[in-house]
Amino acid sequence: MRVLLAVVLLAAAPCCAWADASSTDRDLTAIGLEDLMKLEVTSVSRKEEPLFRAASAVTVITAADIARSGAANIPDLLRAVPGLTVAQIDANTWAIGARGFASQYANKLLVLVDGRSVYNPLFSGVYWQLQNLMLEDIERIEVIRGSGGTIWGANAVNGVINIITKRAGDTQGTLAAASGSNTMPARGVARLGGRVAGAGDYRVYGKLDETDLLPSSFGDPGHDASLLGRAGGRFDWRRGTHEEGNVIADWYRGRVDERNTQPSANPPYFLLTDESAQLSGGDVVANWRHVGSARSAVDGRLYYNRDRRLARLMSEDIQTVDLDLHHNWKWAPRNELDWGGGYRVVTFHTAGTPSVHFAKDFQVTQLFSVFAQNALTLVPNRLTLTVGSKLEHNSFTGIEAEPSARLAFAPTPRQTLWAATSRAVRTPAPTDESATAALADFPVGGGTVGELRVVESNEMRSEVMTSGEVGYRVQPGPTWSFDVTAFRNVYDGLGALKPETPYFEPSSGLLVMPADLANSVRGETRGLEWTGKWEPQRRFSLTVSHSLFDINLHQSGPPDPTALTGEGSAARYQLVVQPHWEPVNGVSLDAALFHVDDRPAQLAAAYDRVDTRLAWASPMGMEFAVGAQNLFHDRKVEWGVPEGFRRSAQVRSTVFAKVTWKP
Amino acid sequence: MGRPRPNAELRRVEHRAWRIALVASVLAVCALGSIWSARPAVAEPTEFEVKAALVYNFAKFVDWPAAAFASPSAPLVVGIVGDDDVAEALEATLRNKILDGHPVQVRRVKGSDEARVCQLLYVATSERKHAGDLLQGLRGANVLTVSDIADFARHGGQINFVLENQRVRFVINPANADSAGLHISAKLLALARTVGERR
Repeated sequence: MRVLLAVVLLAAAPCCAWADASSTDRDLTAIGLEDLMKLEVTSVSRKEEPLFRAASAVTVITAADIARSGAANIPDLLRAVPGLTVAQIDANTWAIGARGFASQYANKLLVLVDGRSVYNPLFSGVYWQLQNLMLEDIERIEVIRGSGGTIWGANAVNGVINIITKRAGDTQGTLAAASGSNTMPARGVARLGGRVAGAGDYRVYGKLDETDLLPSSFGDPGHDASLLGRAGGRFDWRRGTHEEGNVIADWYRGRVDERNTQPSANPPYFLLTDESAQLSGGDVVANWRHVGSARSAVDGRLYYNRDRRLARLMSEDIQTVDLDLHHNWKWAPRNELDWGGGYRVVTFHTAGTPSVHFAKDFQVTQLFSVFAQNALTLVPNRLTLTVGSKLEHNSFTGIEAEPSARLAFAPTPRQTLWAATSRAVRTPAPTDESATAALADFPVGGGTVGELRVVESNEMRSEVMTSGEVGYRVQPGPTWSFDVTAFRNVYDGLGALKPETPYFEPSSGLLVMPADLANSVRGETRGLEWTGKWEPQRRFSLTVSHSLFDINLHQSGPPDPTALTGEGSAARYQLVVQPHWEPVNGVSLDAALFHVDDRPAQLAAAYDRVDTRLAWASPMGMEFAVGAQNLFHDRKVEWGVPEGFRRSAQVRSTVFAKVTWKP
Repeated sequence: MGRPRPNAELRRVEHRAWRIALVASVLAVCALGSIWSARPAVAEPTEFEVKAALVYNFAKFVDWPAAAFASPSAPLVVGIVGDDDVAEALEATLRNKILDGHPVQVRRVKGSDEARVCQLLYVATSERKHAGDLLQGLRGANVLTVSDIADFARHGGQINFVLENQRVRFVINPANADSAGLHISAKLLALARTVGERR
């Protein structure tokens, strides 16, 4: 595989050398004013935004990419990002991770929507079905692979996914869209945007999504349909040239069906339970920026978030209040300081069952954090060194430090060479410390039934990662760009189950085999991620991404067979090819071709997947799109051994049609 | 969860064939692409080349007060603060131009003190956060301010660009231009969108 990669890179190099020798601008002043305004133009930037000089592995999914992809949800949009693992578990749950460690409860990935963390702190994961924002409202999604600990804090160990919505000023007027597919029978959105003279811009939206059930991993009908409604809005204001801000609010309500496996003391020792979880919740976010001078700007954010989930297996009600302040200050020539702090308080109400419950039904956690990062320009426009750290105090493990150092070198304006080293931390979640869960029941002879049970852990400390990364970005001309990153991460103290002494429990008649969590696994990961983009003209572009990944885990102490599943759950390579073509004005044809290597521990064989979309924009503001997703991969399991109680489903090929009206 | 596993050998061969086919097609596209783009074809104009040419036209259709120039043949200084693609295109576009007898000079400037000396100031998108301050410092100076920052004309600037359906348009705030002592020709105003209070 490495040989193949080297061959492809070598072949691409002469293409770069040949491509577009004329990379200087032309003088169009001979063309008259009226004619200049009639010209259709291409917009490939030569000097991208500051992200071109960023000393980290960043991939940006733009609003245009989202519109063209035909994806109906955010996880499907993330499939094309190199270094990310995206696997669908059932109709509403996904296992997503960056640089390994993907899981339904992926705790090393931080996900934010407009600065608000959507990571569920109870289980340390993201409920992706609740992040069903209007895709048409997303300005861009920045995916930063690698440690984000210094700026974003604990749990941003392997990556940060930053979903940024459009300003209200960019979503004016009316928009309505409806779509249907064989797995998602109905989806409708409506949005209205306007301006309040002298005050600001606003938008309000409403959305309804219905998903159908998928076949279970055995082929019979599953139980994972859902119906979710969502509404909300945003108001952006600006006062003079020095202050601006926005207020964002969302509300959702719905039902998601679940099929779970629970242990049972009677043969066959497990029960399939089907139930419907009732979900409701919402959030209010206020952002504010004050620009003091050309050298100083302060950002503030305050948000409240509530997620409620009522289900027979486990119910939860989580409320979060968070305040963050950030000062950007050019305090000396060639120096730029970013510093600030935050406070977050989270309350958890839970109600469990014998299969899974928490030691205390009500918990409160507080998190205090400060961070500081200084960017020193060693050579103007060429070499910048950024050094910083975040310090956090959390309720479980006390103080944690996450330092990092990054160096960015731009030998020419069109190239960036960067290197970074950092330390990141994953702090324990309530599930690590105080949850009790029955994993399996089985006969142990003599008529007794044994139960493998996860119990409260007092010993669980933070997991620590140290990483080293290098990368190179080049844009030799307006038609080509190339980006490559290599990394090596070393993990210490990864959590795994540690068996304790079995005991007989008279109340249930079971021989309990307890296991608690301990930091008993060490590991390392290495990988390479690259993306090449070619856009010879406005109507055609081709993007190719490739990632290679290797993971090795070692456990000390009494072995836990599930501890090392991380090794077999990560695909060793993924390849994505995305062509885009506009044959005539208003018609857009897009495809994404994937090849993903096997994940033996998840019983998922290597597979190919094709997504396609054909769209026609009529002059009256209507757009019609049809397409197919997940072709050549029908009725296949992508994640066969999920953590937790959920049963996997077979992912289907889908055919969809969508109509959008935007007068 | 016992699903029968497919024949390992067959699967490996199948996937090797797929990988080879995919890589071969990517290489073929690269090869075609490099041959194609090596042709001296007339590529479409970039947004930034058009915007730079429009800046030249703005200077052509705006009148400065006599006091703005030391003499009828004094240079017309175009200042650029910050950096973006349009700024880079401006240097190529405005080289060796003469407007109304004034030779055009392009200069990189920092801050409003240096900018006051120019007749036209282009504010790059990298200065988004500091544009307000800059414009405050230009009060009373006869400087035509142009930018690619969104809503620049609504917040103290005089002209900014917008993209509509892949075509470049511009927005003018006539009141701000008036306060700077500049006269914008009716021809330019007719082709623009205007914002701001009308006098």
